[in-house]
Amino acid sequence: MASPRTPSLSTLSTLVSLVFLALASLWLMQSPIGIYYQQTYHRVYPLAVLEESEIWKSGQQIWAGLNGAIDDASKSLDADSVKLTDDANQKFVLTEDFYRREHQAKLEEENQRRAAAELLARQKQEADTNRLAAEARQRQEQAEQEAAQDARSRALALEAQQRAEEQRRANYLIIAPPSKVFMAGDSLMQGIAPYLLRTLKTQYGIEGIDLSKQSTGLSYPSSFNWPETISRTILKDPGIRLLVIMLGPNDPWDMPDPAIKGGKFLRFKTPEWETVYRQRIAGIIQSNAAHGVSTLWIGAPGMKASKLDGQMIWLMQIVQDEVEKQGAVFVDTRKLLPGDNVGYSDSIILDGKNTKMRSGDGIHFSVAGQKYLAQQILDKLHLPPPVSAQ
Amino acid sequence: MGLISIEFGLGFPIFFLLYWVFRPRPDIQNILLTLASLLLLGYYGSGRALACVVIFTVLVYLLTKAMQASPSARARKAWLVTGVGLAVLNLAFWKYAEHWRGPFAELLAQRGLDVDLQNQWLLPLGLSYYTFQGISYLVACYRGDIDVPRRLSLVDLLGHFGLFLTVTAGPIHRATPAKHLTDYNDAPCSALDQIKTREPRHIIAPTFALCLILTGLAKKWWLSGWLASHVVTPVFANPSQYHSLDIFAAIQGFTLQLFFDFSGYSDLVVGMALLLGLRLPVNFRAPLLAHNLREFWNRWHISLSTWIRDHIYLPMGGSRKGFVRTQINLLVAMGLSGAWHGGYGWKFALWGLLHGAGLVLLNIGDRLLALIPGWRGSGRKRDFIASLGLPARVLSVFVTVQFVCFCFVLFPIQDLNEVTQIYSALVHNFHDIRIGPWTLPVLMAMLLLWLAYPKLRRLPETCAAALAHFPALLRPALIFAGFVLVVLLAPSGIPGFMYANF
Repeated sequence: MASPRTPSLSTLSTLVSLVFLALASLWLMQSPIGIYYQQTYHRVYPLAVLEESEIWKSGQQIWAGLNGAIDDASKSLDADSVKLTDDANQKFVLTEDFYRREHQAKLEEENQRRAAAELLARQKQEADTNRLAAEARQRQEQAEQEAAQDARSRALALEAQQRAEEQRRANYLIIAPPSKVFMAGDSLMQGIAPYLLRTLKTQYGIEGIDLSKQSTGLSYPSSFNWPETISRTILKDPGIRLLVIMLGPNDPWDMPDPAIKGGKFLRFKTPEWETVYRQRIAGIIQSNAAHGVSTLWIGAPGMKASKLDGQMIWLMQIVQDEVEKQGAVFVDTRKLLPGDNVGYSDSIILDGKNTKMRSGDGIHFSVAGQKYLAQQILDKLHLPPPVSAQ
Repeated sequence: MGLISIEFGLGFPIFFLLYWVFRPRPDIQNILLTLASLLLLGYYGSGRALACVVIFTVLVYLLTKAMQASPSARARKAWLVTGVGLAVLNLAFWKYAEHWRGPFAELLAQRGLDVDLQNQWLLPLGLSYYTFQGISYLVACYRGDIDVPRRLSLVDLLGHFGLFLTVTAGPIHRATPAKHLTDYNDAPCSALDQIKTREPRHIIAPTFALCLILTGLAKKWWLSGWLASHVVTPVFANPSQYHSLDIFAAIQGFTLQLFFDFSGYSDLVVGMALLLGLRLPVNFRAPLLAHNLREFWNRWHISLSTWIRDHIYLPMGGSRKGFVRTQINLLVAMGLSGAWHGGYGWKFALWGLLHGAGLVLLNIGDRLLALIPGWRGSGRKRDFIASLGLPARVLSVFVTVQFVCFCFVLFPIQDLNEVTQIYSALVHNFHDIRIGPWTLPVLMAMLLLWLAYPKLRRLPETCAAALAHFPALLRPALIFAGFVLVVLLAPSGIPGFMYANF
């Protein structure tokens, strides 16, 4: 197998091959490498200056073309595979009875959906009426208060206001079939989502959609754009009534300024950074609300590395504030997985047993931790009585 | 370690140039390898991982020096036992002590000692693999396989233990030769001769090496990742919702995923080593074609199974102390090998014991079959069923692979309850559940791959031979095209490494 050529020639030609491979990769994969560079080093990609040359830029177009071709090929494979499977299911696996049950279930689902829509409309009407009445009452009370300056009545008004807010919050996380739950987030969510999906489906008959994707956040929309993905998904599937979202550990970095393309990066922990980040959170929650979708925002837990932990403490306090300001619900996982000093802890005592909640890297969850958090999230939801689905 | 990263990919040609500039001086090349390894270990691991390997190396260095300076056999043995004992304690501490960190900190706190033990007890990168190499090195020095003039200098020893290619996930590259541990050309490839050489090194089979690297990337980056996300993970997370065939495909798929992941990484480092003129032992030789478990362990993670054989099984007596004792030795060796695969907990030891039990059953079968007069007369002792002709051999391979898959299901699960769920769904979900969209094509592809496997396992050699027919200038372009295809097909993101946790 050894090369017949002289060793030095073979070394030289291998070196040329390696350098060629490196340069050709930098050219053809300039878009993903540029994004990777920005995300990793939080600076402008130095080779971006080459984009002024059309020859260099042609790599981008070829790469996009190749990606498109692979996407098309995999879509057509997907379709073939689905057809093959459907045929096999029809011929060999599924009985008449199955289709009858499926048809019935569909009808039932349709009925439920209609009922739910009617209920929703009724609730909205009631809420509107209540709101108008409450406003009128409030105005009246205010007037009375102003007149009487009675401390006691002021307290009562406050209490009523709080009760109304609690009521709104209680209703906010109601979910029942045929409504669907949509899960979004990074690799932490990727771990939790399968258990959420399983319990929702098997115990409550609620369908779920999980789009969580590793290495994503809100800082780098050029790499993955969550606000857009979420609004597109919700538009496509009107059955979605609740978004469970968990983001953060990929975000504590300087990020590109959306206002000035190719300009200086916004520095983490500056007011400018905070403003942009808050806008993205608010955008997601407001767009959800416009489509009648509630948002349950899961905070990042404590992290083992103290630097990341400090960054998460700062970031989560911003997230919690903005989420609650927008009327959505925030779950503080830091408090659910407390360490000795309310920071990071690998394990917690669960049913009297010391249970490891985190994986070795000090960021992600162990399987036990994923299940535990999934249960904690379920406990926040207002679910119908469990059904025993198969 | 980030061998599959953009930074490493761009940095490697620079290191390659520097390394070959010193072609006439292998001793300087060794220093470069050591420096690069320490830098990478510090960068991708941590300062602590770096300190651990340095302290470990210094200790092994001093112990072997003391051992070889001792005049009496008893003293030499005492040094050996000290060295091996320390290495094993060190490994056991980092692997299993994390579980006791919380209770231990509590105990200290109760005594009024408020010591912060947070974040301290995580397995340092590479510790497992250099511990194995270190024990082999100590034993070789004790046995006299490595004498005083051939002992490695501190810097070379550091490079031997911390080599960036092998430190994360092997292959365990031993200093001295071992049976069955050979390079891609089936030649012995122990480390000592390669480090000690004063003959200039040369690049070994560069086109083949590049093809091997490409195959490794395709296996690890594309196939393993695709199987995980399409066939394995969703089904294992929620088995009751899937058809029996989906479960079957997922069980097969997990073993295949593990194989692609681990053997792909091994291919990658063996290929890179060839580009640096170094020959590393081949770690996988088509394990999923094994016709029995004994054969499987001769082909799967070979550098570990030979290590267990030489350093646990044989010192306990191997097969020299009678039939029953042999089986006990086997069970202990496999149980320990299993326990090494995991952290604190029973499931990995159970996995090892299951394999041990399989091997014991195989031995009992051989012994019973030896009672058949005609069979004994043929002079062969083993492989009775596989020797009955092609159908019997295919059946033996199938049964062996199924047993391997059955046992690997223990790896991704949390408790035995989940195994029950998976197997109960496998048996019960035959009727009136839709088969998942990818299951049938995947099962067909697996069957085809398996049939073509005897040819496919030589894919890097075939590709290199085919490339030789093209003009030299065109070859890099073709290799680049293959690389682009792998990147396009691979699920996005840099893959994590399943075996690095072990």
